[in-house]
Amino acid sequence: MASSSKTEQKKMLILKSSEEEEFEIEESIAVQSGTIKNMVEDDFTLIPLPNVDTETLIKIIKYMKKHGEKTKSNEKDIEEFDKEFVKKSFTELKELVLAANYLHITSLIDLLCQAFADRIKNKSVKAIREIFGIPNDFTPEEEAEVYEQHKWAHEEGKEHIDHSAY
Amino acid sequence: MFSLSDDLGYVRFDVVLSRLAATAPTAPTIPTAPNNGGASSEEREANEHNSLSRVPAELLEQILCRLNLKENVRASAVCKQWLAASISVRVANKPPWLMFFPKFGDMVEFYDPSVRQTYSVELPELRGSRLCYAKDGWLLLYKPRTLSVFFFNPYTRDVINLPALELTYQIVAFSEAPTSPDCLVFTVKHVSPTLVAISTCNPGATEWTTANYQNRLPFVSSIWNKLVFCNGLFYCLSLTGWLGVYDPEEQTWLVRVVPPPRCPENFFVKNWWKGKFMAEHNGDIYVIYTCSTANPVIYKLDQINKIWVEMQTLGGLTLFASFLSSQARTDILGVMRNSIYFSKVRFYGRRCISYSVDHDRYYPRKQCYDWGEQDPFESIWIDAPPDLSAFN
Repeated sequence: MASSSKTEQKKMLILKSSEEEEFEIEESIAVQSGTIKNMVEDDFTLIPLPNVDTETLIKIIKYMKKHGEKTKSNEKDIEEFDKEFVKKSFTELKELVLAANYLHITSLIDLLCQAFADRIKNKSVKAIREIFGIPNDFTPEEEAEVYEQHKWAHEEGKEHIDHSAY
Repeated sequence: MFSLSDDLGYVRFDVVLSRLAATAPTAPTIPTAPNNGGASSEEREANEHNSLSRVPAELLEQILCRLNLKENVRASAVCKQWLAASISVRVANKPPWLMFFPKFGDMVEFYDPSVRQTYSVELPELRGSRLCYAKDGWLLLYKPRTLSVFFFNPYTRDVINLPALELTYQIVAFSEAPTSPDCLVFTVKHVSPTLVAISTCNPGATEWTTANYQNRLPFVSSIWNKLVFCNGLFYCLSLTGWLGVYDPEEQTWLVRVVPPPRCPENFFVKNWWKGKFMAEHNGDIYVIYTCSTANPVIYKLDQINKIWVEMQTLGGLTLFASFLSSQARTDILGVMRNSIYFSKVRFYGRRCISYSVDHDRYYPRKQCYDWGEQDPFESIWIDAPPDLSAFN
C-alpha cells in the first residue's frame, strides 16, 4: 500500500483494462473520472475496468493526462489536443463515449457528444442507423407517420444530405 | 486482443451494454472478460439477435441536444428510442402573437398563429392612444391629445412613462425592453431634405434629447419609413429605399451609400411605397417589398458589400410583418418556416395570411394582396405571453 509520509512521491493508481492489462497513473489525474474517484475514496488502488478495453483505456489515460496538466496558459494547446482527439472513426468514438460515460469523465463526455453531433448532423436516417448499428423498429405505418409529421425536415432542399456511414 | 467489433467493424453495443449492466460503478468487481479475449461464437450468435444495440438514453440525449431543430427532427426517424430522446430535448421557438388594436372600445384581441386561437382582454389603459412600436414583449404608445409617450406590457399591464413629446407625424422605435438599463427610444423628424431632428430618451429620463443632423444624401423622413435597432444602431428605411443610420453612442447620423433594393417595374403602382416591412434577426436586416400585382420580394442587407441581396430562400427563418414593426424567428416547427406572416387574419378558417417563400404563393391563394391599403395602426406582432394567465 502506498504511503507518502516521508517523500514527495505522488500517489499512484493501477487501472486494469478488460484484457487485464495494467496501467499506472497518478491518482490526482485519474480522479477526473468520477467512477475512479469513488473507488479511491473507498481505498482502492487497483481499479479494474472490465468495461474498457486496452485500446480505449490508453486513449482515455492520454486524455486525462493532458487535461490533468491544464493551466491558464496552455488553454489553446489543450483545445488543439481536443480537436485532434476526436478525429477518429465512428467505431473508436463509440467505444470512447461509452467508456467515458461509464467512467464519468464529464469534459470528455461533452467533447465526444459534440463530436458525434457534428458528424451526424448532415447524415441521412439510413446512414445513422448503419453507423450505430440500429435496426429500424418502426412499423411501416409508424415510420410513415414520423416522416409525414415533419416532412419539411426530411426534404433535401438546398442542403446536402450525406448518405455515407463514415 | 479482445475485440468489441464484429466482422463488419460495427461495435457490438449489446456486448458492451450487457457488461455495463453487470457492473456497478462504485464497487470493484472481478473482471469477467472471456479468457481468450474474443467473444465466444455462441455469445456472438446470441447477440446477433439481440436488439439492444443502443447507446444509453442519457448519452443519446446529450448528443441530440446539440443538434438544431431540423437535425433533431430528422434524427427522430431513426428508431423509437431516438424518437423519444429527440422529443425530450427538442427546443422549438414560439411564434409571436398578433395584437389587434380596438377601433372602438377597449377590447383588445390577441391571435396565436401556431394554434389559430384568439384571446381577448379589455385594456382601458390604451384608450385614446395609438400604437407606435413593439419589441421584446413591450409596446410603445402615444396619446396625441396629451403628447404622452409610454411603454405598455399588454400581458402584465405594466406601464412605464416617458417625458411628453409631440410625435404626431413621426415614427418612433426603441432598442430593447424598457426594463433593461440600456433601453433607448429613438425618433427622427423631417426638417428639410438635408436636415433631420433626432430625439432620444431612455426610461427614467426627465426630458428628451434633441439635436439636428445633416443628410449628406437626400433623405425623406416620413411616417411611412421603417425603423429597426440592430447591432447597436438605429436603421431607418426611407420611402425610396435609402437607409439612414443613427449611432447613439457616437451620436452620428449617416445616410448610407447603399443603393435602394431594385424593385421590378410593376412594383410602382398605387401604394407601392406603403407596402414595405423591415425586420432584424441576429444582426441581419431584412426588408420585404410588396405590391398588389406581384409576389413579395425579400431583401437582406449585405453590410460588407453595401448592397441589398434578394433572398430566394429564408433558410428556416419566418418573418412576421406588420406595418409599424416586424419580427423574425428561427426554429419554428413545421409549416411556418420560410414564410412571411402578414398582420391580417381571415376569420373564416382563422388563418393568418402568409406567403411561402419555398412555394412562391400566398396562403390562402388570392389574386392580389395590397398591403399598402391596410390601416397601419390596427395590428402589430408582439412576443407571445409566457402563459395564459392574462386572459382568465
